[in-house]
Amino acid sequence: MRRVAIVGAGMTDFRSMLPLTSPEMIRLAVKRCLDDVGGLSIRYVDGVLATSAPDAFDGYHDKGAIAVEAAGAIGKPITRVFVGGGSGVAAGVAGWYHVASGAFDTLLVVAWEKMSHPYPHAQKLFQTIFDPVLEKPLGPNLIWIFALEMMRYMEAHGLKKELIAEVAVKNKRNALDHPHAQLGARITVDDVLNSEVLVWPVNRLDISPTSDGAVALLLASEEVAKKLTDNPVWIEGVATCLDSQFWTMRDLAYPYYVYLAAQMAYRMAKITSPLKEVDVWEPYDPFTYKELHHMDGLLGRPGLAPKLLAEGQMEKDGDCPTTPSGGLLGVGNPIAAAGLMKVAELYFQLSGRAGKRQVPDAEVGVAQAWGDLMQVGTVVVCRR
Amino acid sequence: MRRVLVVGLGEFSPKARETGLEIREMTFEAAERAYLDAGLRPEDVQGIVSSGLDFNEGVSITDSFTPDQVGGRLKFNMLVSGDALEAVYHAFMIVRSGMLDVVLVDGHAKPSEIENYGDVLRCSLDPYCSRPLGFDPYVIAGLEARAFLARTGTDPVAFSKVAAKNINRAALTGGPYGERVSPEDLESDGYLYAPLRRRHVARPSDYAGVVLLAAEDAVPVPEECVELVAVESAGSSSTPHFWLRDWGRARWVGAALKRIESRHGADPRDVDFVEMTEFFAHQELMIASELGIDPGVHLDGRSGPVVNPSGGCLGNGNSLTASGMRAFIASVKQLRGEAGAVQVRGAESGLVVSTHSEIAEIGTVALLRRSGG
Repeated sequence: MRRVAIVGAGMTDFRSMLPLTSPEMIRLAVKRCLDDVGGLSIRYVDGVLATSAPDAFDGYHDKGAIAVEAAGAIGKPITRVFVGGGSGVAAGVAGWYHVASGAFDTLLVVAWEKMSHPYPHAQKLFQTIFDPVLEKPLGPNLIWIFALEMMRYMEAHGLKKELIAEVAVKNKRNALDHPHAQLGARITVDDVLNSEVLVWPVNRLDISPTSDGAVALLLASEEVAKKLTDNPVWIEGVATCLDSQFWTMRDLAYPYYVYLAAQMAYRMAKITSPLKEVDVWEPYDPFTYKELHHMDGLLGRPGLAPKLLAEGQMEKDGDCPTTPSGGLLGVGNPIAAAGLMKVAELYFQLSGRAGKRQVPDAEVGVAQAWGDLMQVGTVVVCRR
Repeated sequence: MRRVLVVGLGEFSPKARETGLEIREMTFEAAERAYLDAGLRPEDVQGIVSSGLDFNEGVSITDSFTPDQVGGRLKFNMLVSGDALEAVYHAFMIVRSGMLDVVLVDGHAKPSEIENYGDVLRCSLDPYCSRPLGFDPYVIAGLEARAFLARTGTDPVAFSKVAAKNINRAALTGGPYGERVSPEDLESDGYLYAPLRRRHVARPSDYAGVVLLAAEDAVPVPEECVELVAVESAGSSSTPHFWLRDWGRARWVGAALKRIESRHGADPRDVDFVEMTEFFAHQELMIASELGIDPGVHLDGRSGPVVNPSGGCLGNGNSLTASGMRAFIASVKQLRGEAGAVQVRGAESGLVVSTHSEIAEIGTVALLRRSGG
């Protein structure tokens, strides 16, 4: 097994209605990534791994092809992986095995999403994710099923909405320091609670926005990484885990699939006590409660994350710095790109280049994404 | 690096139209047969790599619909958006990297349930410059076939010879489009996408295939087994912008072969047979040409590797993204000596070549060989 490093990262702004096409977003993110590696020529990249969430967003069948020319992949191997909302971090996982297996020495990992294409709103397209026989005829909406999960989580741990709203306050504030953020803001718990109720108990400010954006990372084998940078960030643990598609048969209080993915990634990274050993956490936070829900899974202790939040330990200067990037709630949620943004944040944090977002002395980081029908957990562990 | 073995396979055989089972039930049957074949249980498998495309299945996040029927719940999962041989490639890398020891790979497709496949495929064209023209995307195949003829000076009757060969071979194995035909019979077919005639174009077939890959140090290895020696992929140009194509050539095949030579030290041309996904008759000739196989020789069967002994897509149908899995499993059967009436005598090694989709210029190549345990 070869060691695999992240040697460069680049991204576009995350915006609603970004005035760029999908290929233009990809090209910009790739250019910024290669510029981050001293203006490396695409000629030195062996292949491209692309990811993007449902084909329906771009109205493209087999939309990985969009990345071929935009990422400079003409004549190179290119492949696309896809596990719903978990795709961004899954691309980090797949990128890792492309290089670790010896198949590639350098690999460009590209994620994008153009959620402003669907008219009048992406929510309509989300209705195509449900089981066509058992669920779709009921006309479900994504926010409905997440409201069910949030309710179950609150009930299982006796949580108040006031505490959960703190996640939005923290992440939107952190996003003020992210140069590409869409919704950085100073808001209060009352702002969250007083925002429009969409589906009880979900208020508008509990939800991340729909966004357009792209992110690119350059991965390299150890031998090549040492030639390209003095400051590589190593991918030391990777995993994904998928639960049953029949989500109504699961207890929604705990993301067991995230727990299993995390345990697998920790074993690879030789992490035995994540709470003590991990310096920066980037869990997937498309909804406020999801950050806590996922942290419970990542920490392997149901109900622990809300306590850490209440104690202020999830702040940048706390013992468990969580989502210093600003996350999906603050930076934005172009689905697959949002997940890869979280891996990019680990790269910026662990290489000491996160600017005002920097967590001091960060050496180990965990990024996680989630998706499909509340079903998949994808995890990457990085080390300086 | 660890050796990767094919330790199990199972299929729901291709059918022109499966009316009894839905796609997940077909996949379940294939997985059940693969487990039986390998002597493994679902709990022995650590991860799933599936292949598929949303629009083909009529759902978004198609990956979420795979794990339950293949024993994949609460395991590693990755969906490769494309042909199943690409999924085999991912599983190969996963095992080689040491990340997992035993991985299940799935390919499934039920084109008989797609009412408007032409419209679906059109959505893979550039939405600004190509799609508004409203043409049938298979027209690109017709143009490519014409370019191949112009570039090589091949007699168009060669397409009928290829199709007759494959359709006749499928007749020996019960393939859904197998029949006893001569090239002359096919020459009397009308044109669909000139110069491609009706039976020069693969017709749809419903199919599911599952294989189990394992590291040699992870499972009991029988005396005779099949080793997946190398898998590589390559692309030529950009699919949505079809005008950028290198018309009449499958240049990506040569690039993938070079990667096999340089990264695995193997000779991918020194094989006993080649299974490929030829969605159109000319594609078999284009790919054979990149492999250095003289079209005249391979059609006459005088020497060199046997091409598409199973009957390929023209005989067994176009199973969309599962087509590469059918070709892969047909190859493993050859190396196990289980290919029945189409067995290539003494087959020790084989090459699988699968295009990402009917009109793509990207694909994957896998090298297999029979190996001592």
